[in-house]
Amino acid sequence: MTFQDHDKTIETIVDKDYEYGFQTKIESEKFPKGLNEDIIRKLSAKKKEPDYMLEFRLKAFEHWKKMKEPHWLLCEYPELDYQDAHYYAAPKSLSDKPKSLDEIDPELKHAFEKLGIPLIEQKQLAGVAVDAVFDSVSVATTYKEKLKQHGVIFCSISEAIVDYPDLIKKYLGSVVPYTDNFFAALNSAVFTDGSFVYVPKGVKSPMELSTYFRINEENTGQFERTLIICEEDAYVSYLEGCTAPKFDNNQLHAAVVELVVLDNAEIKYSTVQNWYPGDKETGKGGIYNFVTKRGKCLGKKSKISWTQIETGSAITWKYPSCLLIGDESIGEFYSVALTNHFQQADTGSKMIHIGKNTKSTIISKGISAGKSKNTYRGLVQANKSAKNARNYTQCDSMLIGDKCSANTVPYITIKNNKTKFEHEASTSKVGEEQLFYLMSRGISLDDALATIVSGFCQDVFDKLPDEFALEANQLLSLQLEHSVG
Amino acid sequence: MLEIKNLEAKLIDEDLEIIKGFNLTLEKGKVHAIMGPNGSGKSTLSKIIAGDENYEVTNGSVKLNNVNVLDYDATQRALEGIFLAFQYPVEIPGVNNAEFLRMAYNAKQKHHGKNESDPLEFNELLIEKVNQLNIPEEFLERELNYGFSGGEKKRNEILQLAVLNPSVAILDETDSGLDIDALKQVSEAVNKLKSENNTFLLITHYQRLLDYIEPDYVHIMIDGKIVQTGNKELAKELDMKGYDHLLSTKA
Amino acid sequence: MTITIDKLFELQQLTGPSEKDEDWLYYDINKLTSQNYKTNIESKEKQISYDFYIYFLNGKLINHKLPDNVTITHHKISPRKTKNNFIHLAIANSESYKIKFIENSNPIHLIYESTSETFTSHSIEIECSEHTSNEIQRHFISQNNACLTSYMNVILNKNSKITVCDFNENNQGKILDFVDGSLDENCNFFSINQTYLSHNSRFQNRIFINGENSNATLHGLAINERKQACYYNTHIYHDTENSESHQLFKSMVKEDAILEYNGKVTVCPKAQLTNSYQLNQNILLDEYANVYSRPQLFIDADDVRCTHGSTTGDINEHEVLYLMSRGLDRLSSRKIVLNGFIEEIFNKEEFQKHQKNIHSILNQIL
Repeated sequence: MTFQDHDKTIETIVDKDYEYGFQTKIESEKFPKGLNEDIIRKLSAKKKEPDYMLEFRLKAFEHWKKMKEPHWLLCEYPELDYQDAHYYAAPKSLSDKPKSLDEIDPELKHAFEKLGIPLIEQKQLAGVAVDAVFDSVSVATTYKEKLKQHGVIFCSISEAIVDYPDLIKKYLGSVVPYTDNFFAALNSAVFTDGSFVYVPKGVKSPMELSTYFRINEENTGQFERTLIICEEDAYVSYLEGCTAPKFDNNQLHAAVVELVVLDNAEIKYSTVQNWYPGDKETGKGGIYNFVTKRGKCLGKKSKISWTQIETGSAITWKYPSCLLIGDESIGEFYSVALTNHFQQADTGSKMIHIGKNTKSTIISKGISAGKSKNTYRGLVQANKSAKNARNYTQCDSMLIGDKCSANTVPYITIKNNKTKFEHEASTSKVGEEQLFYLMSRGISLDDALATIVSGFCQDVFDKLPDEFALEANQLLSLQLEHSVG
Repeated sequence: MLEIKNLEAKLIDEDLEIIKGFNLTLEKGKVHAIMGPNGSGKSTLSKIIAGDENYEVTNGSVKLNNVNVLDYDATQRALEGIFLAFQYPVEIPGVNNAEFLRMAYNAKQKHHGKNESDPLEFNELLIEKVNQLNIPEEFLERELNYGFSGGEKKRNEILQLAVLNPSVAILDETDSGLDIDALKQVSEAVNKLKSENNTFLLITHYQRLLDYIEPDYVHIMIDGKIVQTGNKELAKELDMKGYDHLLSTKA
Repeated sequence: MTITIDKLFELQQLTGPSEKDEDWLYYDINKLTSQNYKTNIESKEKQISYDFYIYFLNGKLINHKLPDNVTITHHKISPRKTKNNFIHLAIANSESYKIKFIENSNPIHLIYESTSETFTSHSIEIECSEHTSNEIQRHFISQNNACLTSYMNVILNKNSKITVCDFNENNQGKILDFVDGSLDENCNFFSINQTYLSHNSRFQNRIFINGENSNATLHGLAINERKQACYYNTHIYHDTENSESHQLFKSMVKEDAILEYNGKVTVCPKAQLTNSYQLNQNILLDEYANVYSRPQLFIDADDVRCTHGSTTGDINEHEVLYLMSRGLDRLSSRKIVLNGFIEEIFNKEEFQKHQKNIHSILNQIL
């Protein structure tokens, strides 16, 4: 396949993804439902993995079996039946053309029309390379060759497991070990695909890298695995987007993302999450987005910056975190989490200060509307060794309507005095006066609300790569439509 | 142009009438001033005209070019050409002033079937307006009213007025809280903006503003309705005698 | 004869909190409950110098003196719904009393004293009649290896006010104190806790604001060193419209001391127009102290104003330097800065007169 062919494949796949509420009719190959050692062996064989990977998976599976599904978050979900899902699903052939989508819900069609973009237009921008993950497999990766000329490896994790075993052995599970938590263990056992990025010493990635995740099959869990390594003085900006069709039952998305940065290196990781949030009227269906994202600032003056715009999913449960090990390393977390209707979100960050002179910043903006529940939960910790650690945390919540809730649950732990941690939080509602003011200038109610909310989130939007700031804004307006009045 | 007839209104959820049979017709190309003591309902009137849903109109009509606008929400009224310069403009953090202006401007353009303005083109228009009104350009880059001083907020209201070019402009106590220089600047701006095609309604407590913006009519509002109408001499008289004599004759 | 708290729980068919309980996250619960305490305890009378007082020694009411308009009776307390079995244990394991303020009275001092290696429980209900304003001062004395537990249920009827001042100074034993407050309309609940150089103390406050226009103000100041630990655990429930709460907790800690502030504010769906403020500020005086700060908000109503904050760090060296540059020595400069830091705790009229002179404490720890 040539470089251009890749682009085309992406276009055809992604084109269908526009109608993100709907399932693409594609003939797929699926493993039977259920989770056991055989399935894992079969999965590993299917992906032609070397033995080391199978071992890794089986160890994780053994551990997982001993663990209990956690339920401590401020959201409610029923116990999941892990035997009632497929752990592998992939399109039979990439050339398979999806059939017509005439049964599209007008609501979603409308949403799609208004969204009017995103992937194609942006992916046509020369500056962005894409890895598209469809159910369990990576379908295509663009600009691979061009990136390689610069020494940057950008491919699916499946390819990396075969082609770069040394890097995988060294780093996979080094930030999020399979013992970390229930869903990380599950992911380690059954992850199917994801992206791998390696930026060698001194290289600034010449373009933005991006992965687009798509769940298409019903009753399929998605377990992707992302690993990004930046060697000394390297830099990469990475972006992920996600959508899923509309099913009445809940689907589990349990991803693991690991980042490693060495001296003076930086990773900027942005997420625009728009999984199917469930039915607006009944709350039925939607994705359970239970994700473990963590970065290790290993090197001196290394930096990890997480930016997330969370508008989808029935439940979002994740805490993109930084282990600030290297002296003078920096961790940042900028988040907008918007919940509407019956959505629930329990999200925030963990900043663990270990090295000297480490700094972290957390800016979190939670917007709750409808009957939704939005919780910020974050840990900021300074160990004894973290002399002169600094943290600034700001959590603002906005409530729209009187049936939603907003919670703030910070954990601040300080074990040495040369530390300065500050936490500020406030809660407000969208002022009627503000709405009236904007409306009296000829702006419609929906636009006025979107303007106020987007102003509220401005600090975070500023951190997004330009191409996506616009999309994020539009996503917010769409989610909020008809929330007041 | 704007015809208010037998208007009666109260705060929603409360029984107390604030506007009690108010009649006024704003004429095209004219400047009207409403003066009155505190609590006479002047500001309430302006908010009702703009479409504030905290008030309930129990009787009467407000017609803009013979169309009753009371059924419209605030957005529709603005699109039809009503503009209120607020006494206390609210602060909206994070919203860029220039972008907000373009949004409002384009909403209006679209409503009238005209082309929407792109950022570059609009920027030119803005620069022209701020220069014309002697407003510092840095206003445009700030967040909407956020962190503005009282005087700056009032001037920002006038900038919006200039950009949106309404047919009915209501200035609610725009003079309050302004020092003499700011008052002059705001007045000059208003004088530049008034034309044969629009009408201005100045709501004020003091005669001071009317030294700079000459009204064609002066109306005195007491207890929710107009009690006297005259020309600018009436304002001067009022300034000397105060409202007390009117209140007592009424009683 | 000795007994453990675990055993006492068992006898009452209760279970103690677990390490996984978020409210006991940083508390060494196992060490507490497995320790052996004496069961046969003597008690004897003591001269008390306060005008009006109730004196408990090792869990028993020894003597008391109250004004005519304050009554004390035996009373079976039924606590607010709680998962905290220490409260049930305290009630089951003690003689319960009820104190009723019929009208305004002079301050009443409650003195809880527990001698070495004892486990003691206390339970008291305080009821304030309508239109009364009263004050209670609680003095905790917990000797070496003792564990003093107490439950106090405060009921404020319409238009009443109470100020509760806690003194916890130089104690060698453990203290576990649980206070519930229920507020009707137009009520004020003020409480201030001062903990200085005390071994291990945990103070829990749950305030239920059920009536409009009521206000709860909780302040706390802890100054500890060595392995001393102080745990503040608060939860304010705004259950109705138009109420206010203010929380301000400060600490200075050094040398392996532990300070936890675990504060919660819940605003129920119908509690519109709630105002709630929560602030926790800590100064670590050396590199060995530990602070756990958790100002939490749970909001289910949209028209509310809630802010919370937490700052933790070193003493402000800029301020110290400024004072030194004006000719003061380092020690006095630091004292001035620290005195300035705690000043805010006492700048409410209700609390002003209760400020202990911390001069000697500062001398000891600086």
